[in-house]
Amino acid sequence: MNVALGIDLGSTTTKAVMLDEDERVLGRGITNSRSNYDLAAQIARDEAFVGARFELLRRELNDDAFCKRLEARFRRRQHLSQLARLRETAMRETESERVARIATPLRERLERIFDDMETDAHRRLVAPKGSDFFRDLANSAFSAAATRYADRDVTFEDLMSVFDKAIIQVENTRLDLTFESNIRAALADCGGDDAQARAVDRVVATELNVIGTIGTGYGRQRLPFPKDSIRSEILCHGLGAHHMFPRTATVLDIGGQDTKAIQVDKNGIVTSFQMNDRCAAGCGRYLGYIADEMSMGVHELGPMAMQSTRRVKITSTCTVFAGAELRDRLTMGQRREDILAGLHRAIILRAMALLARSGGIDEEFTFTGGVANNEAAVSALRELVRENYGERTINISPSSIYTGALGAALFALRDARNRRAAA
Amino acid sequence: MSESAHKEPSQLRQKQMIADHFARLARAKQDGKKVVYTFVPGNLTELFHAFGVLPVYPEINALQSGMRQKSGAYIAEAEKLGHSEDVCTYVKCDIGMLKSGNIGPTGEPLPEPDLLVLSYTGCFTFMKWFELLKEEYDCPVVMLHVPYQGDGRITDSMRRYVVDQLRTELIPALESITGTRYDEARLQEALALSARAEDDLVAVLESAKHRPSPIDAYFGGVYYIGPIFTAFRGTQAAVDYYRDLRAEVEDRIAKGLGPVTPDGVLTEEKYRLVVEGPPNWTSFREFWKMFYDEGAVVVASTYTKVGGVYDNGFRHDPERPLETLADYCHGCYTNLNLPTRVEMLARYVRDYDADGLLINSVKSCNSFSAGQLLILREVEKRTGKAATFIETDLVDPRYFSAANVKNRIESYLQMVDQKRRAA
Amino acid sequence: MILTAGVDVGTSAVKVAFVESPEGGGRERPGARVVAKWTERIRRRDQREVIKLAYGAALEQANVRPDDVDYVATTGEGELVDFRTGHFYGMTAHARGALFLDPETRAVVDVGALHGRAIKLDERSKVLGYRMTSQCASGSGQFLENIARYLGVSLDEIGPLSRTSTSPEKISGICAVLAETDVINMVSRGIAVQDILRGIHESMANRFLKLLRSAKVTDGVVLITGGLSADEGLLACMCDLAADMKSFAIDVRTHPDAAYAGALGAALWGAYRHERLRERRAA
Repeated sequence: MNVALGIDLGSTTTKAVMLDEDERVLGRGITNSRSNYDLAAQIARDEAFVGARFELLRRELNDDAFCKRLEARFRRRQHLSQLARLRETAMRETESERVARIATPLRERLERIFDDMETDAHRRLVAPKGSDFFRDLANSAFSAAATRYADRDVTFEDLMSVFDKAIIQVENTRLDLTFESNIRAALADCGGDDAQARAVDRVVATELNVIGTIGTGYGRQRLPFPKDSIRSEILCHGLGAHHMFPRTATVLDIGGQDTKAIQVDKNGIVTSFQMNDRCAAGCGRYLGYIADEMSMGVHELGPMAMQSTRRVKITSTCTVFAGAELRDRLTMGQRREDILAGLHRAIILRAMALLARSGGIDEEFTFTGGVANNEAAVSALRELVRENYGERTINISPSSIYTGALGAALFALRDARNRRAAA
Repeated sequence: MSESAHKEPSQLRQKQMIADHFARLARAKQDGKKVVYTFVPGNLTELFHAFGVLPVYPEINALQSGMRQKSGAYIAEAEKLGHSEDVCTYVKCDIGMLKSGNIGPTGEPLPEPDLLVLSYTGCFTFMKWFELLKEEYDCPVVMLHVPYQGDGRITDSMRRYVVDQLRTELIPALESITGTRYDEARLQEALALSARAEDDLVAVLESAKHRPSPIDAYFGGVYYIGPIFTAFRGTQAAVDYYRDLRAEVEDRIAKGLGPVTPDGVLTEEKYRLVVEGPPNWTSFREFWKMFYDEGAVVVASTYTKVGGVYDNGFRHDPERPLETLADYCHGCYTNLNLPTRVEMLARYVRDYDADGLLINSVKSCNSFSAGQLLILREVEKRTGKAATFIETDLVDPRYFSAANVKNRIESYLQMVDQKRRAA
Repeated sequence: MILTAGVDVGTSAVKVAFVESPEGGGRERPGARVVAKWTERIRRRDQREVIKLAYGAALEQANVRPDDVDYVATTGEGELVDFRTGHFYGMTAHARGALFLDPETRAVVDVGALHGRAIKLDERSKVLGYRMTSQCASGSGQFLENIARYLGVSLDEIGPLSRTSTSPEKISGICAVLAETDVINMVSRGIAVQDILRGIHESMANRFLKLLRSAKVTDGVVLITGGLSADEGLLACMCDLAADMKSFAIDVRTHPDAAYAGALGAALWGAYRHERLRERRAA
């Protein structure tokens, strides 16, 4: 079957979306961005293919429960092969000159750490967590195990620096994590019957013929695409939001490095937009710095801010000043929850200014980007929208992080259609 | 302009003119010449010529420093003295240059002023700037109070008010520093030369109505306005320069050629834009290239009217010497009220058959920036063409985020493209 | 002999140093020697846990029991150390520690995870003036760490890589977050990793030289201390840039134990204060 791909190379994450010819989403893929853009794009693309094949399998079998089980097994297989590669790489690191003096005990402990990590792979994959990326999962599991096995001979730091070196290498190699290569083993793990096996075979045999790919996002200049296969993320976000919520008139996207306020017409075509240019205060990275400042994970900020009972008014708009203000307020004895609630509001206030400049908030209003998953940011947004514009329908999709890639895929599909019409 | 964008004969001539002027300045003290520091908007260059006084333009020095990558260090110098981050960067650059030996663009130290003349008070910063310079040089200052065109026209009483100031304040001050009497015939001679050069300049700027446009009326335009807005208006050298320039441009029209840019001749004119706001000088080339890469040519700009507006028919008139100077002071672009500016921009979009409007907003320049968003919305409404907004700075390299600017320009042009396709 | 411990609690690491010094050493503590030192990076662990770990490791290294320590002096976020005897300001601790490491030191540039500061001192470690990076995290260790992660470079590779750069890439220095964006765009323009790192080092070095200047330091020995003192790329940059500046005659140095300057200084001050308290009790 014919499919189109959109790839959004963001500053923190790289996303891919695959559409069928009816503009239905077949598969999505996401990975953390890294300096090797081509590889990040490749991995996201591979993942979108995996997602698409599972979607085809669901269409074949009409058995959601089984597909869910199968997918969980499949994910575990993927995770274990990444883990195996990590283990191998870490062991190689122990041969380096730097650790010669502790090589033997270091190897012993690493073996134990990796054994433990393999044992709780399953639990780790089903537990709720801040991030699904292998780098983060492995990091927290490794560091938990390292805490157990570190001692005076082999310190926690010795172990962690091996991990640091190994993870970089693993991240920058492409492993074979495809559907075709891993699905049968996963099926065996589940004890699938013949009918299911035949369905899997049919899905594996289905050709997914990519008729167009469009790249967008920060790294788009580096994508191995010709210029006419690149679209600005503004247009992609506009069209993607329109596809998810056809009545969208205004889009707010808060991503890692920038915030965009976009107005679209009834066809999802951008009519006006504003971005933050000289200041990063209203964007996702701001939260990253705050999290660093508080030694917390970014995903923990929103839930903590929701615990606030008396929101603190934050006066600094600047990311960095806000960090200083945060420290001052903590020393003054104000509660972290209340300060964080104030910080979330401060971010959204910046976004509100941008929205006003782009032409305000019309009905309906769609909120996308990584920050749209942060409940405290969403709650501040709802409040401020009501204060400034009255009642508005606010759309947030659970897969809003894919909005840009979705728009890119739509452009890819339309371009392919136009090419066909012209031919 | 020190860096010539290309090496047309007119460009070489301009280079020589500038070199000669700075050589005269370097010798001013030993030649017994008097020096006046003044600003570009609504300047009174002919009157200085009539007294044989040499003008220096601190703004031009600042933008030259920006183009020569020296402004960053100068600004840092001024900030160390306590000038805030929000102060106009021209001022900080000038103050920094002064503190670093006041070396002009040709490497020669600039002579100290014998008089400071402010002929445009619409920019509050100018007043403060000269207050600072007064402290520094301890020389007389003449500040003409020039009324704002609040109702969009110059009334008789406004004109009389400024002429009175010329008679009772500026002319006596010039007489006193030079020891010579005011000679009206000499002024009239200069004014006649001004008018001739102005006719040719207008023809050059209006040549952009052609398709393809033979010039870029913003990036190329800043070179074209150099002589007329600075020391050369009212001289034979300027008359010769504009005559040559006009002939070159007419030749390009005859050959159907696009504008010359630092990266070569623009061969395919994909977009025609009107630009409002000053350029960014620290990344001037890079900024220009972003337009060139997309096949975008600027067909009209308001920055090229910053010294004075000629496209509504104003020419210096030797028959009304002081009145015509007063009109010129009133008539510089930033002294026009918002409705007049909106009307002017909307007219440019229509008359030059442009695809839209791009505003480069500079936070530290209130004269230009106040009300720009309103201008943007209004021009969009009146012309039905898309407009966009970018933020940079005059000469502070910290405030030119190339990736962001490029991203916006690309997004905007893709949006224009979409609009055209939908139409 | 007096045995004192210095515990420097930073945002990214806990540094512990044990110092033994002869009785009656006053402020100067002549003959003081280091008997143990330990660094434990926090790495998202509970800070109090890490403090216990690091302190325990240092005790073991010095081969002493907790009761043998006469004074536990803290600096940095010392309130987290519940077994402390007393606390000292970072500025005075760093000045004292730097002088101990290199007696010729007349100024310190302390580069921490979130901030940098310049301290001017005299030959008796009295602080004559100081300046902090008030506004921007782009001159901090955390920033460099974020970038390294993004570039796929481990921390100990940063310095050596930066030194191989032939054409450093300028970083816009107005805002940490925008500087990150800048780096991301450099990667997308295909700029070499070593040139990016050297560019960051240069912008940091520039910032620190500015700090020194505003703290009125123009000559003499400047010691780099803190977490980034071991970053040879930053050190090389500081030396190169200082050499290019006319109004500067500084001699930029570091020391293998420069990361312990705060902990050492606290331990030395602790010994002095311990003696004073004893005198007071005796009187």
